[in-house]
Amino acid sequence: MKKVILLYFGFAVLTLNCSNTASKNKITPLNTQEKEVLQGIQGKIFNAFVQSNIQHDPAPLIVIQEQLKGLAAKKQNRLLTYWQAYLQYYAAIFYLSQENKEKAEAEIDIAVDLMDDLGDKNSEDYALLALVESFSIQFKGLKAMFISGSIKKNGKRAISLDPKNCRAYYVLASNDFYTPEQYGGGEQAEELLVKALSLPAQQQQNPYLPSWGKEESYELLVKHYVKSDQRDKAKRYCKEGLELFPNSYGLGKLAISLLE
Amino acid sequence: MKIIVTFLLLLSFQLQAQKRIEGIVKDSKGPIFAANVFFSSRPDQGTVTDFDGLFSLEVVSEADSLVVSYLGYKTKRIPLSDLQGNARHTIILKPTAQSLDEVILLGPDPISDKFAVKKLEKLDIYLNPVAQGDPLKAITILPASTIDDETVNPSLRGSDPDRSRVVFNNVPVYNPVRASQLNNQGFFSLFNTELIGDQYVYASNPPLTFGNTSAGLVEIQTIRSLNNDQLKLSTSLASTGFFVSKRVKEKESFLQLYGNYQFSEAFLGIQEEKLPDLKNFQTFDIGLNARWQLHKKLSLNSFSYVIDESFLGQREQFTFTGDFESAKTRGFTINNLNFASAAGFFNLNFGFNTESQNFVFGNTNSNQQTDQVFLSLSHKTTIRKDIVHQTSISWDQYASDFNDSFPEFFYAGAPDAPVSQSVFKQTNSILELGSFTSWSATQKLLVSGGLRTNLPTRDQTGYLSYQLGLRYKLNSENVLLLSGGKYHNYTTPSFFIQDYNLLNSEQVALDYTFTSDRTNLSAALYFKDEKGTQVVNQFLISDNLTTYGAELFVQHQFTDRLKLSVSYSFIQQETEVGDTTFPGLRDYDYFLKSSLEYAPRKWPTIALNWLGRPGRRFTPIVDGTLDTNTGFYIPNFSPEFLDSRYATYARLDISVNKYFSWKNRELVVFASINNLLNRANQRIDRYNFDYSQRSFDPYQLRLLYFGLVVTLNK
Repeated sequence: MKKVILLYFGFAVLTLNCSNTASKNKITPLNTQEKEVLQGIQGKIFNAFVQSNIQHDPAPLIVIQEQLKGLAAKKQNRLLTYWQAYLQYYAAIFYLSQENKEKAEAEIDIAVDLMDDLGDKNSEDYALLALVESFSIQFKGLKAMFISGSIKKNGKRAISLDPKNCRAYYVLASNDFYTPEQYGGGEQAEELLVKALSLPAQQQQNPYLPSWGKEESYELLVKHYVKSDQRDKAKRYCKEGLELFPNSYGLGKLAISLLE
Repeated sequence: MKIIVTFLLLLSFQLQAQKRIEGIVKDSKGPIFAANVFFSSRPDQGTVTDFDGLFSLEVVSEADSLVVSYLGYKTKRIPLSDLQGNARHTIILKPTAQSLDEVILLGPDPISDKFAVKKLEKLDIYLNPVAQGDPLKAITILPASTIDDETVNPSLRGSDPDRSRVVFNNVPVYNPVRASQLNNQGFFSLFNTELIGDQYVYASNPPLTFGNTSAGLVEIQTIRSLNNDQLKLSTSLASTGFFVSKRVKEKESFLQLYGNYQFSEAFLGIQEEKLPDLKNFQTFDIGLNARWQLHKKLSLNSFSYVIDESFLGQREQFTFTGDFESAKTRGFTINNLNFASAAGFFNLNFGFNTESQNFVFGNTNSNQQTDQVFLSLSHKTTIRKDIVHQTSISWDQYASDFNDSFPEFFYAGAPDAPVSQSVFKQTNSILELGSFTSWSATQKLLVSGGLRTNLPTRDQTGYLSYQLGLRYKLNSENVLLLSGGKYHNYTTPSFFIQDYNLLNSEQVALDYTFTSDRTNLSAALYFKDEKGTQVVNQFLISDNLTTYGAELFVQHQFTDRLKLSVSYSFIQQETEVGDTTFPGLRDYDYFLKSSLEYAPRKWPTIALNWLGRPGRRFTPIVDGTLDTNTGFYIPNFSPEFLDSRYATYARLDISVNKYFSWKNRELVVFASINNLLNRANQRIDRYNFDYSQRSFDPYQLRLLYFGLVVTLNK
């Protein structure tokens, strides 16, 4: 009986230990609602965007939008602003895909305003600001050349604050790639994208912070090589990209066209 | 027994493994959410702080360090031996030393830029419905612009243009307009818009980073990078010109060369009757702007400009009407060296201006030679993350040689009337020290303060200019600006006032702006007390001018194609002549400007601009007394100065332009009709020989102008 009790007690301690091991090195539990919304928020926004596109309905994006708003109403936090702006960016892409240009412009303008108004911006803030500005450029007619200047300025600020931020290099490359040659575009995209790919998506894994930019860099670099008729390089980077991001829709599509 | 030992060992291990570190991560403002917390030996297995900055992490090894990091903050490493006990540890993170503000503020952008009431970029000028592509004309649409004589030399918030300054790449350019008084089309500034990067308008309370201004300031900074090589060719009813820009190395090193020839034959040929006072004009100018990025941190910009102009027309003075001729040659160079270093941003500026002018009218023959040298050095540095400070020293040397024949009796201007001679030289040297500080007190509140004092040369009076500014950003759409201070400047010598008089002003202004996607609104209230001997007009000198003003400007984009702007200014002004108070020259109950732009997709863009205000004030001549010595009548002015007004001024202009592009080429075709309704707005009063009859000469009547610009991009 004694043995049984001791074994039971030992088992109980071990169980406790196991349960501690399970929680060890994991995220500190947030308040359930916050955790539910914010953990892996980048992926959640992207998934909502995909769902919205499939359903031709912004509802999935609006659900997250409301959740973020709810948290922001409770407690203001700059990271919430960041994800609100990021969501607006995807909402704008959604509306553009639905050929609703006016709504797309309104959504991206909100994103630009959110990031623009954020004080004491860090490297990630500047990178996102540059990203949303670069999307807004298509709606701004003749003002495009000035927004392009702002994108460059903000991208450079992001790099100067954190030279290892791959997203900063990606947004600068994207701006350069889509700027017509007569306005000085197309000169630096390759160099910037190669640099972006040499950097980690996150320097420290963190489910609340952004990790976008690498997959997009692969996709843009492949497009760059296709455009400049360097198909061998395009294939190499497409393969490398797909190994890292096997579910990438953009890279998959490029791979099919490269095989043709 | 074995089981017990095993269990105890297991328990002992467990107790050790259960030790946890708990804490809160903060910065000076509060908890930091999503900061990374991990042990240096296991960076891949850490945790993240929650919304309240809290974390809890199990200790793996005692001989380790806790690492806490977050975006924009210095990473903190704390040996575990320093984190003993079970208390909740507070870990304060400090922002990274190379903060963003440092990167932003310690560049060439003005330290005072947030206190400008308007910032214009090149495209803003091109898209401005009244600018006709001219940077100084672009600001005439603002309610703060109180120009009431169809020129473009900035008059801001009721002040005389000679109290405000235009600064080009940190060097003042006095009288920055073409002297040829052709018509509104010819009333342009000396600056080419292609050169312009940013243009800041300080409608009142000029930043004390610059001196010699007691009203407002227009600060122009040239572009710092060139996107592509370009050739522009332009031709119009009265001019032809070229503009070439070429990158030398990278985008930051480039050359811009341009030249224009203006002529009157065609312009006058088709509408001579609309310009009865204009007989001929001719202008030639050439400019070169070059920028070299010598090193990542060192750049040099050099702008040189020469203009030669002649003008033949007709004018009147009292009872005499006759031809007049004027000729002017002017050249200036503005050079800037910028150096960014860990010790701050250094800026060295050198300017040289030379001009000679001849003016002949009746028995007046005026020759004036002016030379100016300007040198300044400024240093901008970050004292704290939220405080930026700039110190500067400037030296402005000005010399004017006058060689004039002028009427011995001011009312006798006919060629055969007696004359007096005057030959003399005036010089002035302004040596000033300046200090300007900008403090971001909170994310919403920006505070600035400036001091500027002269180091008196010769018999100058010492003075101290000072200012304080508060900028409160309520949210992304609403901004309030409160500024006040005391300012000094010297008059610029001219034919009518040939001295360097020291002027000063005390002023306070409250500006509000609202900016949204489709609507811009601004409003202002201001007060100015201007002192010093200053010309009101050619017959009247004032000692003191008090101005109260209010402004409202609304611009609304109804659709992507239709935009309307309306501007209203109220200016109550009193001037003191001796001990008596009279209304000021720019005393207006209303100064209304309105602009409607329609830009259909396929058809040309159309802009209608309307300006309305009471007529300018003037002092009428009531009668004349015969001077038996000269045979001319002496005018007897009304004893109440400026008690009359010309008739109400109103003017409607229309401009049309269409933009085409194909491959690397662009074409802009434009046309305009100024004073569409052909209204004879009264410009000046004119009299017969004995002042018994009065008539009025008008400003320009209806005038047509058109042209095109072709651009070849490379």
